[in-house]
Amino acid sequence: MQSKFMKHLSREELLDIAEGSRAEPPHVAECASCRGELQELRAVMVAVSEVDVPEPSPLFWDHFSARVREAVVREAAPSRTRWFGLGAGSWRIAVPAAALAAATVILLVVAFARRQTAPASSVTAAAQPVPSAPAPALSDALPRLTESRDPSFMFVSDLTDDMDIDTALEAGLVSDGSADHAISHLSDDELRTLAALLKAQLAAGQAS
Amino acid sequence: MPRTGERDWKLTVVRQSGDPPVEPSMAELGDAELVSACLDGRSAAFDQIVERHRRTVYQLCYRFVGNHEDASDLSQEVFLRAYRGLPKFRGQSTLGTWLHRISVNVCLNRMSAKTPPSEPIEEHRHVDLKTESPAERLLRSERAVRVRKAVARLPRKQRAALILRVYHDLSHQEIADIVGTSVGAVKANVFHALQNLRKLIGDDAV
Repeated sequence: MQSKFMKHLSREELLDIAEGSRAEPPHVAECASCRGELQELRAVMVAVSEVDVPEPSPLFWDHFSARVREAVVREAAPSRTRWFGLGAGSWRIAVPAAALAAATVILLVVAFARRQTAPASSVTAAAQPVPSAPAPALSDALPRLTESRDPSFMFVSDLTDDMDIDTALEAGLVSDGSADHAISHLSDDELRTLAALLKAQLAAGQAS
Repeated sequence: MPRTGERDWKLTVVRQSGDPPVEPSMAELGDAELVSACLDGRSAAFDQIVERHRRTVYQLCYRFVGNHEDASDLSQEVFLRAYRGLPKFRGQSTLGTWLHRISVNVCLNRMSAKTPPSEPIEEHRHVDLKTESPAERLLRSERAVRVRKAVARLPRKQRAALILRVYHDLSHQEIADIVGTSVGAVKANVFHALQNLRKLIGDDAV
């Protein structure tokens, strides 16, 4: 006879008993509800476990392995043809060279900007109000770079001529936000110089 | 005792001291050794991993998606992710368990990207497909189709827990590790999956 306060089996107990990891307690024999639930669970488990996955064609497995192999080979050389159209293997040379080139360009620009703004900085350090320093003309700057015919500069220039920011990001030469960081750490005079350089560059672009 | 007119042949293999040591074939290596060989750049080792585990991975993916084309694509994705992740494989679990985990993640991601079931399980009404045909094979086949469809309609976590428990015979703890949940949650998911399947399949199929 069932007690009025009989505690039914929990979900976990029912599952454990259905899976065979827990012995059936005497309650199952006494409680029709739990017994019925247990029977249903077992029946569904049997019905589900009897269903096999259809075996694919015997040819499938070799084809599958070949597909995976091809995908892995592609994975192993993801960017072999993306660097300046260089052939397989030469990216090992191109990437460090381009990194060196990018670093050199940055150093050149910063050094140039500092040289141009040195007097203004000293004035600022003296806390004297100064009118906006006249921006150096680009014509003063660019000829020194382009006319120098420095072989390392020409090498850098050639390498970076077609490089866009996406390519540089992809190659890990710069990280997201590095340009913002660099600009936010320029002095006022360096910023003015940079602005002047950009304006001149834009003007030159429109003229050509 | 040697018989008259016959000779006893004894074959002796003599290796020169300069010969390279004979390496065991990939098929003889254990999973851990294959992983190590992969990381040393021996591509044949990864081929062997694929060959060894492709059927299990495919079957797991098939259980999730219920068709060959998607299962094949997903299996390829699993091995590609495994290849990418090999350097991070620490061997804390077996390679098989690790591949199970990747498979489940790949399948669950695919299920998230694809259209979810359009109607909740509770609203699904059992359609009686009882056939008049006496062929037991046909009945079994139809039942299998219905069960596969029902499994494919289960919510993601229930489906993952059920498939790994019933078809891949993993322990609740192993499933919890793979799915990233507790043993109790795994048991609850298996229990609800079985209850939902009973509604979906219908009594006559069970």
